[in-house]
Amino acid sequence: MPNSIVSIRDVVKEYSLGKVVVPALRGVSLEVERGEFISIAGPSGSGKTTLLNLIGCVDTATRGTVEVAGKNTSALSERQLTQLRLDTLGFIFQSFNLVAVLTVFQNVELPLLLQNKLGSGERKKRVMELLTAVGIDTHAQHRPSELSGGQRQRVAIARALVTEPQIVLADEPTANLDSATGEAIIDLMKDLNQKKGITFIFSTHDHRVMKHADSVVRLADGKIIGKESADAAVQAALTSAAGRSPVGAH
Amino acid sequence: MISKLVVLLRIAFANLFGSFLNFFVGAVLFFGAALLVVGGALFGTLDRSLSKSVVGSITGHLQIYSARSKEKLEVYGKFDGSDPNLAPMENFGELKEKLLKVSNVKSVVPEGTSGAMVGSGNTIDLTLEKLRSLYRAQKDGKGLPAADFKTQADSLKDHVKNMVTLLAKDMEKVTELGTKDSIEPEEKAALATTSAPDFWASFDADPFGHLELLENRIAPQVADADLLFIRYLGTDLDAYQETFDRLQVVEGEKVPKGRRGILLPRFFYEESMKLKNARRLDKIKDARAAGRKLSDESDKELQRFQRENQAQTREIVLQLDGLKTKTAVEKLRTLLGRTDGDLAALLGEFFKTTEQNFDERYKFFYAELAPMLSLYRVKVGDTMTLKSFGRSGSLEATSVKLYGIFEFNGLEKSPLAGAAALIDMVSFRELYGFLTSDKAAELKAMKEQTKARQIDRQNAEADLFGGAGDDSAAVVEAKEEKIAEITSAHGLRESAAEKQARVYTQAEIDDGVVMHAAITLKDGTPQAIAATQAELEKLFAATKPRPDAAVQGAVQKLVDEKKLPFALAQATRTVLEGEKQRTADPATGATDAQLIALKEALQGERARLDGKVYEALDKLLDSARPQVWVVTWNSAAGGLGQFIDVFRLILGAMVFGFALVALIVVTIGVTIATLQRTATIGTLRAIGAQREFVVSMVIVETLVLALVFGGLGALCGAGVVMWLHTSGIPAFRDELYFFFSGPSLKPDLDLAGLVFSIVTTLGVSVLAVLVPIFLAIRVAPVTAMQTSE
Ligand SMILES: Nc1ncnc2c1ncn2[C@@H]1O[C@H](COP(=O)(O)OP(=O)(O)OP(=O)(O)O)[C@@H](O)[C@H]1O
Ligand SMILES: [Mg+2]
Repeated sequence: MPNSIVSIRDVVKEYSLGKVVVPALRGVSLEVERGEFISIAGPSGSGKTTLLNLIGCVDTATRGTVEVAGKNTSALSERQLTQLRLDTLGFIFQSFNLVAVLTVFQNVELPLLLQNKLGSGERKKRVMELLTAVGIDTHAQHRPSELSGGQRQRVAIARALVTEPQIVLADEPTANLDSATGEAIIDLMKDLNQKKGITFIFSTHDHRVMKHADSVVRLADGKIIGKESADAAVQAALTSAAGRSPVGAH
Repeated sequence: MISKLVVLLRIAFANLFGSFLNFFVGAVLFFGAALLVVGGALFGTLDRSLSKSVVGSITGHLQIYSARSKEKLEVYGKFDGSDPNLAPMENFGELKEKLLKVSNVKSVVPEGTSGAMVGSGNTIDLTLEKLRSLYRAQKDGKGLPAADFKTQADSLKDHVKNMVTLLAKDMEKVTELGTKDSIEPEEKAALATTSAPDFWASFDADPFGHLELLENRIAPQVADADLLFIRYLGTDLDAYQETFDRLQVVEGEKVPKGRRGILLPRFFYEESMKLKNARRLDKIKDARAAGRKLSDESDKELQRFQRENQAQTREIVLQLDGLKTKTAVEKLRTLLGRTDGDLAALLGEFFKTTEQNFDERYKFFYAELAPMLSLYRVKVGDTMTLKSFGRSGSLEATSVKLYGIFEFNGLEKSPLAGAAALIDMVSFRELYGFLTSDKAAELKAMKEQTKARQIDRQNAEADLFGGAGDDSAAVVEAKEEKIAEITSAHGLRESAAEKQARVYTQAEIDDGVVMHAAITLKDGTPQAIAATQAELEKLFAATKPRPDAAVQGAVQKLVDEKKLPFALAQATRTVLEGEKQRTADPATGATDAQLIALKEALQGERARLDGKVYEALDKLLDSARPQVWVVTWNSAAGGLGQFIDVFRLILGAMVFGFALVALIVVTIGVTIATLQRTATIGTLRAIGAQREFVVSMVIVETLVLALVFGGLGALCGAGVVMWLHTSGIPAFRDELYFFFSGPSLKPDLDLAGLVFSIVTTLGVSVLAVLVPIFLAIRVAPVTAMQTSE
């Protein structure tokens, strides 16, 4: 496993709600290769977000080990985890999570300022490059509230990539977008994955989104029930969806 | 670091106008800061100007008074208007010499406040005097031609008759109302006799007998009806005038060096000594100049002036003799277009002034009527007789020349600055019933030697001023002789003329008792005042008795038994400690303030304390106190000095109030803002911001808010202060002149106040940020994943 950028072994994650213990992940093991474009699929409540949170170092496993970029996250302090997130990870959120009072440019520049590695000229260049890459450079001085959902998610993608992270995590990045826009966003991600070799891990319900992935990790009830190619996964998803409801025949 | 600050400031400024909440918080900070600046400048200036008024008109920077005094020094009198019971300081000269050696002491001015009665106008005396000389001249054959004599005599008689009739009417009213139950039957009888037509018909048959009755029985009644109370400050007039250089004699002259004399404050002179109707006309004129209207029914004061002017014409009627009355009646009839009506009726109509006729009437009054009247009861150059009850309760009287009318620069209208007349030290001592100490000793020796001739001052006094009970010439002569004897023997009593002419030496002025003294300093800053006070206390520490171990032991026992009321115990402990220290080192010991505090506490508890306890504490005080207390001007100003404390208290309360309100509002505001931004904070944490970044974000945001709104508020406040400084807040009530130390208050903007207000605002904000910080650092990065837009 020398090429694994994420390595998860026998991870159990339990939430306790008062006295009740809710198991969210029940023994999950997963290896993600550098440069993979991977989707995590599964019904609601199956543990997709929980898994991404563990990989994203915003949460810790109850049992088992999570290694991100070669580091065992349970051995790191809060500060170190934060630093790891800043330098190694990029986040794309379902609700975009842009800072409303800042402009598009300033939002994208934010992680660079936190990193404090580049001078302002380089920062500007990097930000503009990325804004151009996601096709939003003309809106650099706009506020997020002046943009459409798809445009906002493009900004979020630019922000996630601006620090040149090794891994970008996206929890249902298309859930708040219509399907055409969603597909365009996934195409964009895929494009960046191929051009820059950045590892993408994203979760989704949507089989049209799923089909763009290199491979799909299927979760059910807190367990991985398989890792397969996108086509197979889409097929499986379609059948299970057709079995339950008439929707999704598209 | 820098780049992080860029983000922080960016977010802070972006958020500044981002929410309604910030406007609310900002408004509180804005007004708070502005209020602090304006309030600070206002009260600071008020504080300074009131100090200036007090220090510059009476107290000086420090005051000393005898530590044997029963009560605290209050130069403006006690709350009830009476003077505090002070023990006199003997040998002021020595004291002064000692004080002047202290390097920061500029001058030492002896002072003493008291009150006296001044006989009112002497219209009746003067008229009777004129009548008497008229008849005497006639008798001696040096008189006027018969016709002229008759006109003059009739005019004067009419005048007196008039006064008697008016007095009789007054007396009737008083009797009816039953307000004065002690009208002497003799007085009543005399009034009845003299107001009867028979009395006047038989006047020429025995003019001198008739005059005697009028002089002895009627004149005092008229005078008594109109006694005036005057407060005065007895002082070394030369030193006073030199030290308190705001004093300005506006009419007449300063009292010449070493002379006896009195100066009246202009305000008092106008308010109490001027003919009331004239004074009211002046006031109406001033009011109209200030835009008030006689036609305004709701202007109660103006309406009252009008009413009183119409009803109270007696003073004018009384002053005019027959001839002048005739002239006045003619002039008034012409002016008013009347063919009939007596003087009172005409005057009543004359004083019915309106917006249209006021200026004309005012001019007429001063051009036509005033020259026939004495506008003031006493004129500059006249001699006034002051009567007061001395400290032993005896009636003291002295005559002093009125040299001039004064006012304090800038305090022209202040009744407070003009509350007391200034009188020379010698007359003051006389009125207060003091003998200089050596003279008192001499008198005592004398009394013992010649017991047969013993006449105490009081009796001598009564004989001098009392009624002429038995008027036989022999008796009077005998009395005069006795009085002359003691007085000349002891230099106690000189004739009025002798007193006027005599020039007292500085030694005579200084060498004697003084109630308190003002000390002015070269450097009058608060710090220098405090330092000099300490220095003087040290100087007088030499006059403290030796510390008494037995006394201390007794008090220590009382303290240990814990039976003393709290405040008293506290004060006692402090003094006891000081005394113990003094036993070891004579240069130490309790301060005057601590000793006075004990004295006050002891006085306050006296009724509740066991006799023995009181005695023990009193002994401690006795063994610990110096000859004189040294107190600051604001303590000496008593109730007025407390205004300063009140100003400071109000200012303190304002600062505290603002701080509290701001603290609450800012805390709530920033807390809500932080809660609203949980998602943003979570996102920032998720994408790699450390906790301290989030904390800095909350702090920077709040500080920016405080700095921007607080700073703007402070600047606005500064603008208001600057505007007030140029326009000035007018002293809209006369009393305010004293507080404002002039006709308007011009608040000064001081940089310290500005900085203080901003610092307070910032300080409060820093405190207010604690709760939000606590909330902010608890926002986990994972919240970013759970939020939906
Ligand atoms: N903070 C939490 N506290 C308690 N239980 C939680 C918490 N977060 C998730 N769970 C539980 O863990 C399980 C997995 O949740 P998770 O959010 O990972 O599912 P998901 O696959 O992302 O579902 P969805 O498609 O609805 O987003 C669920 O049963 C959920 O109720
Ligand atoms: Mg989820």
